[in-house]
Amino acid sequence: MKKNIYFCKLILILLVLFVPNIFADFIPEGYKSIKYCIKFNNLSDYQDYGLFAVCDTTIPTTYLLNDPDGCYGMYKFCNFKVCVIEKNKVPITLLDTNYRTQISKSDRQWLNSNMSDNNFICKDLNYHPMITVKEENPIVKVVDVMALPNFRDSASNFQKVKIIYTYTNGISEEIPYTNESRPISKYAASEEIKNSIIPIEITSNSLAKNRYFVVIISLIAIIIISIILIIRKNKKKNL
Amino acid sequence: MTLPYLFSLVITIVLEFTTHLFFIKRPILDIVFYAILINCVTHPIATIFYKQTGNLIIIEFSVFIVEIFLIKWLFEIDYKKAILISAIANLLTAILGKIISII
Repeated sequence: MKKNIYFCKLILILLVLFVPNIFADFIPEGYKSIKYCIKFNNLSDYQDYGLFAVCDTTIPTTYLLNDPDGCYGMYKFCNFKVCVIEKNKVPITLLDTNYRTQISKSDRQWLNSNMSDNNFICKDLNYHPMITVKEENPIVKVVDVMALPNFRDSASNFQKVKIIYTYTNGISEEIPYTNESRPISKYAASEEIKNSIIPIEITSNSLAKNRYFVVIISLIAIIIISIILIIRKNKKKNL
Repeated sequence: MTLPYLFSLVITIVLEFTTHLFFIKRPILDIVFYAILINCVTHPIATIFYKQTGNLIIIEFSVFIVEIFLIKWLFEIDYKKAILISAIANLLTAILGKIISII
């Protein structure tokens, strides 16, 4: 009987250990993660506006876009939006922040209330970060250069301008966008390496799926703990 | 996060298991099993929250609080000991995580 309990525990240990394999942040063997960010080449045209990068998820992240040379990123599963509001409406303390600084509680409240009141004009970036490549791929960093849209025109969207690949030897390569799809690095010469670039396409479905898996790991553990505690309680009762 | 998620989870489990081993007198398999369970509850959620908010202190503190109860209930020990174990285990994992992120 005791042997059986230990065997069951062993099975559960293996199960719990291997479930995280399906977790979203798992990098497949033979792949490496790379840096990815977005530059806006016309950020200086919006000096009269407060521009905010918004990660539209269950726990929204917001930061001010105020550096024309800044390269901005978001967590890969974010529905990355850029939201604008007249600069004179933005609290001065908030204008002094950037993506590295912590936003104060009062500024956070101002952001949340204005976001929920729809006082911002927001545009969806259609965020598809490039986050992993095969280990032999020389790419270490990818920068997408984009132009901000006309926020007052509902038909206007972000324009993809060019992509900048930086390689392990420090050399950078700029390739302009000719259509919506991301231009492939020419420097990564061999076909094998070209094919190994796997920009991860994140759709709302995959987002939901990955979140679901994360919750599953914790949920399984919580269920097992609950079962253990209930069994123990019943045993004590029977005694 | 530079390390693959699974690797960071395993490191956290090993580190917390080692801490539990020092303070709790129970069969090793029990300690391994409970260490895995405890970390499977807190680690995935903490990772997601960290990526969303970047606030390590609040997340570590929340994990510390949750783990006090999990350690107390699973290992059937008193709160004083559970607080001590949770504090040491989470301090160690936070320090190691910080060191790894710097490297």
